Order: sequence, then structure tokens, then C-alpha cells
Amino acid sequence: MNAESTTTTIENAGQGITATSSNELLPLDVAERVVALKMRDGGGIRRHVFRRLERVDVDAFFSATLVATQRTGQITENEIDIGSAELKLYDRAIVRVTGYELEGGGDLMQLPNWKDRVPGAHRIRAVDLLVKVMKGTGGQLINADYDIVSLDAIWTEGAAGSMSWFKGLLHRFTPPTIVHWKRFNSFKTRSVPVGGSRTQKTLYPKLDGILGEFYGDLIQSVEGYSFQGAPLADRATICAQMDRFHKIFAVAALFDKSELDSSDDEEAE
Amino acid sequence: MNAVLPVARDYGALKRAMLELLEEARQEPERRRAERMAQYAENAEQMLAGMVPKRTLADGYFARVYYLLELESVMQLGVKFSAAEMDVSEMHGLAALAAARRQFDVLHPPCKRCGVRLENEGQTQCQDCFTVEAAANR
Repeated sequence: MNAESTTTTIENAGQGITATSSNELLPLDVAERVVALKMRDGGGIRRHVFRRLERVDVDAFFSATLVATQRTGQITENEIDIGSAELKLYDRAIVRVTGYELEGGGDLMQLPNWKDRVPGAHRIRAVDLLVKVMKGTGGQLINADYDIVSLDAIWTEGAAGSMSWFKGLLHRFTPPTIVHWKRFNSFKTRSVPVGGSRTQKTLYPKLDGILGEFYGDLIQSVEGYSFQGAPLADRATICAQMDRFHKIFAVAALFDKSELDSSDDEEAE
Repeated sequence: MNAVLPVARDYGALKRAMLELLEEARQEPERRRAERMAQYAENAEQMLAGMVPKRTLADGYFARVYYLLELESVMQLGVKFSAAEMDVSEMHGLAALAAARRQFDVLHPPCKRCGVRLENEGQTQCQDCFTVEAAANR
């Protein structure tokens, strides 16, 4: 374990957080995950404590998302709504909050409707950080037998007010076959035109189901995660215990060819 | 109220989307030429607006057509899928692309000399070839 860590400040969506990176393993089975929101101008820290996310929570999250395109004239606009899904996930998984004071004194948690009284922007920001996972910044890794996806993720509060920022989480996959490619692309294009073919609005299917299924088919090993205090080693435990957002994001990255497309564009110019 | 047909099974609309893409491809050289000319024109926006491809269907149809074209090219490379791996919507979708190509061939037959797609089915050769032939016969 490398004790050396670096600190990065992320300023986003009006909430400043400090993220710490280290080489510690990401503990998948931590009972509660704490998202610390640092208020600006010395406004203190608001903590949002979540229980461990289960598959049904993530399914509910994705079923509440909306991905659509709307064309007006010849201009197409993407319409992506995850705000409702984030609020839904918050409502399902939040256990308690700290740092919020009631008017006239007292703790927000005393209210029976405390979940609804947490500012909406804070709820959305907290879930945004809770599920934050992105493609690793370490560059493409090559292996003779496996396709490797590297992820970076925020997990839970580490030092006071500082979010743990795990980098270089590796997922090694058996390369997808042409049948996986076909199933993925066929599924991805099973959209529905809202109100008929000429209405110019398309609703796209949710990909979490098929991506999760492919994860189980293709994953061979992971690095950077722990379960019950030990590195996550065997395939069955990986499939059972891996965070579903990480599963979905890792497989999505496996099928993502946007980097390839952009290099094609550059060549064409 | 009629139920909305999913894109993958709306074969008539997929055929129309394919025809619109073929039409866009046919007009592409003219559009690029207009773009070059528009760099020096005062009414650039007007010129370019007239050349924007006119899609009449929701984007999902074009995304599905792109997928079917990719699938078709994979199969043309010799990749074989078992019956269990193909579904009926893909089979009918590929047939819709083929029907669109046949209709496009009728609407825009190739120039008999150079093969470029003609403006309409009444023509037999393009303007460039006509000019060359007329000059040669003079």
C-alpha cells in the first residue's frame, strides 16, 4: 500500500470537493458510503450517508433516465435527463445527512420529511458523486489476451471532508466476439419514435441491462478492488460483488469507439 | 390510438430513411461545391441553407440504418451468423435496405458513360458527359 497521496480540488456544479488519490484498494463492501459536500465561503461540510447500492437500486436509476434526440428543422439536440433518476436513487439509498440545521435550531433529521427538505441541488450533487466513475486517465493498456479497461472513481469520504478518489481500477475482459458486437449494436438501435416516424423525436433504449449481462460473460479479473478486506480475486465474486455502475461503465468503455472515430476524422481532414 | 411501431420493425420508414441517405450521398459533391463557393458569397447562409440534407424522419431510423449497413458489410466480409443469432427485424431491415437501393436505381439511374447518378429517371447521361459528347461530335 502506498501511503503517498495527492490532492486534487474539483470545482463543479457549485460544490467544491477535495479528492484524495492513493493506491489503496476500493472497498466494495463498505456498509455505508459518505458523500461530503464542501460548502463555499466557509459554509462547512454537509455529509450524505448512503447504504450500499444494490442491483435493484441501479435498475431503478436507469429506468428513470431518459435518453432522446429531438430534431427541429435540420438541427438535432440530445435530450438526456438523469436528474429525476438521481433524485430517485437518493430517495432509495440515503440513510442520513449531517450538517444541516433547522430554522430556529435543531437537526434536519428530526423532520419526518427530511429527505424532501434536503436542497434538490445537494441531493443531485451527492448522487452525482456517489455514482461517479469515468474512463481512467492512465491511457490505453495492452495485454496479449485481454482487453483492459481502466476506470477512475470516487467512492466515499476519506479524511475529513475529502472524497476518496480511486484511480487505475482495472477490468480485464475476454475480447468481445462479433456476436457481442452485433447484439450490442442491434439493441442500441432499437429506439422508439415518440408519436410516430415523422415526429422527429427518438427515445433510445436503456443499455444497462445488456452491458451488465456482457460484464458477466466477459470479465476475467479486476485490480484495485477489495471485498472483505482482501483483493477481489475470483470471477464469481467479481460478478457478484462488483459495483453495478462500475460494471456498466467498464463494458460501455469496452465498446466505445469514439477515440477511433475522432482519429478517423483527423485523418480525413 | 394507434400503437407506435418501434424503429427496428418499421420497415417502410427504414426504407425511406435509406432512400434519404442515398439521396444525401448523391447530392454530397454538389453540397461541397456550394460550401466552397459560399466562402466567397455574401448570401452564404442562404446558399448553405438550401443545401442542407432534408431528413423527414426521427433520428432513430438513421441510427438503425447505419447499424444495418454495418451488419451487411460484416456479412459481406464472410462472417456468418447462425439462425439463432439473427432476428427477424434484422432480416426484414436488410431487405428494406435492398428495396431502397432498387428504388434509388430507378429514380436515379447511372450515367451511361461515367456512372454518376442522374437527376431523374428520364435522363441517360450527365451534363458533363453530354457536353463532352457534343464537343466531340462538332
